[in-house]
Amino acid sequence: MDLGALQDSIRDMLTTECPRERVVRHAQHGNGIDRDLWSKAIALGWTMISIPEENGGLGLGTDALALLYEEAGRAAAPLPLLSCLLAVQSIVASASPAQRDSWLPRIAEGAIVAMDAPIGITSPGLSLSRTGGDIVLTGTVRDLLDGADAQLLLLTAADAEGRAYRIMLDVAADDLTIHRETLWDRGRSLSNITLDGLKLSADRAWLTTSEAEEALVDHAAIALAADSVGGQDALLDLTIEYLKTRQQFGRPIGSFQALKHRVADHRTRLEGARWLTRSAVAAVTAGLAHHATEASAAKAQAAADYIDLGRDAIQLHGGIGFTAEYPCHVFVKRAFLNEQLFGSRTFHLNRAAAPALCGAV
Amino acid sequence: MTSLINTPVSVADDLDAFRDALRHWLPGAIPANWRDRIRKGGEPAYLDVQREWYKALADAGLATAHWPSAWGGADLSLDAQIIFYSELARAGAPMALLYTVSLYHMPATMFAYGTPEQRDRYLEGVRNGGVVWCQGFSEPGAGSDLASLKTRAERRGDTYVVNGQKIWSSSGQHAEFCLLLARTDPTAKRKQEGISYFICDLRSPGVTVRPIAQPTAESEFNEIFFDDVEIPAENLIGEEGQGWQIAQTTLTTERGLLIFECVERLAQAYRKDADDGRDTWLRDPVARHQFVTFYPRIRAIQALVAQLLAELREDPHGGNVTATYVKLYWGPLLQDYVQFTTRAQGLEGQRFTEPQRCAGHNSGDAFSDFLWSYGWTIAGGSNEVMRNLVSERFLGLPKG
Repeated sequence: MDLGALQDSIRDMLTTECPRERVVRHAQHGNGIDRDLWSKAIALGWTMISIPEENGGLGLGTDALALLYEEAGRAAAPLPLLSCLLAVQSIVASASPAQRDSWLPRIAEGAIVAMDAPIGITSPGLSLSRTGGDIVLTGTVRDLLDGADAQLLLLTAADAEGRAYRIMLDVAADDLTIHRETLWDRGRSLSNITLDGLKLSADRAWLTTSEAEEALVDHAAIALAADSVGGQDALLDLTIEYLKTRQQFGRPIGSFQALKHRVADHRTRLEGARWLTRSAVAAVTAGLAHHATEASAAKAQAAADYIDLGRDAIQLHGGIGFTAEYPCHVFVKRAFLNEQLFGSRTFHLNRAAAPALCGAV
Repeated sequence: MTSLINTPVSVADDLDAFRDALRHWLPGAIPANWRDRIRKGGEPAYLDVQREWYKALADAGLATAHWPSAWGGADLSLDAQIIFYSELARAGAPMALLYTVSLYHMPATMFAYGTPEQRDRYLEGVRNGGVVWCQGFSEPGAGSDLASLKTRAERRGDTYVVNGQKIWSSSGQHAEFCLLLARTDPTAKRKQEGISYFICDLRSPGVTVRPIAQPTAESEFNEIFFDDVEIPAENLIGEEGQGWQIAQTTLTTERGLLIFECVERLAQAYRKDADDGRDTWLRDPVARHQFVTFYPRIRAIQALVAQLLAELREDPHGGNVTATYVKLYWGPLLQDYVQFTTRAQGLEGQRFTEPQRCAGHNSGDAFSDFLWSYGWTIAGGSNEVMRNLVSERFLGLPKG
């Protein structure tokens, strides 16, 4: 598969179907994902990218997904791509063939799956016990990304022996009520879910491993790094265009060194984040030994650079950057949330530098 | 000619074998105790170490292996050169600073613009004699605005007579020859025109080289004064008035491998600092947090440099845009890092130690490394000039 063509097709779709005006409108009037846009993404098979060929997907790897995330970031698209594609990976890595056959087609058809953070970032919030042939879940899962928009939830639970499971919950069939926690970034939302002895058929659960969960951390880190790189590209272009056209004191404000030098620094940092992210994508795709440190380094750096650019982009735009009709704030809010999702900056910095600090390299 | 059998160069086509051979060869070839010798013995010891190290490299055919075989090199591939510098960093070898211009800037200029006679004479001098060269580009009034240089070269028969002053010439006090930019036509319309490029023998009458005392307690840089210095016309490189164009070739040599070597040495230093600080300053949680923030930035510059090298592999004269981003990423990162390591050491980091030359930015004295970091934020295009370049040429922002 020609990944360049894939990236072009994703970018074309988002340019047409998710223009700036739509994103700005969603930020003012929407909350959570953009369902019409999601239907179009499903129609184009975006969730099929990493589903294995034997399950009807394209069976592509992290390198293909990274392009999808980068383009979604460029458009600041309110889509649950990360939640759903993480779920695909978890199912493919750990679920039984029968479980794959039950859940992968539903994701392919557009069911949104919310995932709690992989074990390693947090501990399972749910405890799992057994009664007869069933499992019983009790506990609270906090900060579930896209939970209020999801039809399925893929959560972690631990049993009394400390074994860790992934469990698939069906919001409608299991009669779950999920409240939306509104975020500053209106393209995504969080939910807390409390279960008090929810009984489910045992085939909803499968054992997960620390390797599988670590691979999910890598996936999330790369996704958020790529989203941050795409977002920086877009926001920097927007800012440069403004500096070229905005006239004050009889000349374009982009001719002032105090402004253009800041833009040059942001661009330089973006190039660093871009190539670090590509290096991480290559390391994860090829399963190189340093995949975890590289993925976390990319996430920590790209998200921090995105925040610094975002903060300065409003400043460089002046008053217009402080209006809801202008898109700066959409990127800024996305940048700040990216840094916190699926592991804080501190978590990823420590994960990245751990081998160096232990003298392992 | 030195036999190359059983040296790393003889197996350079096989990259794994080349790496193995270097690992085998380096421990015996690196001048023993070079760090101690330089710290205790100062400038004379530094010169001894540089000469010994150069001789070891030259005897093994490695000093000029990156040159074309037609000029006494070994056509060493870019990938093999990358391995070479990685292994030098890994083995803790001294940097061959005294010979940077001799091995890179001078030959790059000669390959592109030198006459056959110039190439024969000067390349051979470096290859077999370890002749030291320096650059005479900057002037007191022409730093970032290099093209405004005023040093004058007037043609009189078969010679040019040079008057003026150069500054910031690395190793100028040890150099036999200087790559010299001087103005031959002061009436040219644009300041970039009317500049010519010369080879100047620094032993000529009228040349005075004066080392500049630096805040680092060293004198790597020099002023060079030219007082009616006669340069034979055969020492003109290229055409009269072509100097600015040729200088671009000289300066672009600094991209790629030279920065790769420095970046690799910083990555090594990061691991060493992690080891050294484990039981001392890294126990401070604030310092530890700051320290880990450098890890992604160092990986980012390594990834950027890898991209630059990939572009240079495709086109040895390409990579202009990426090289600019590399420089503007690297200088501030290095300065931030060595400032951090200095401060993390507390009062201990304020103790003066005798200069440790040619160790990269990993001398063992963090404050010395901090001072030297200005070499990347001022020299070769200051940060501010690079920001103008990025914003105006690459991003299309209007000139002020």
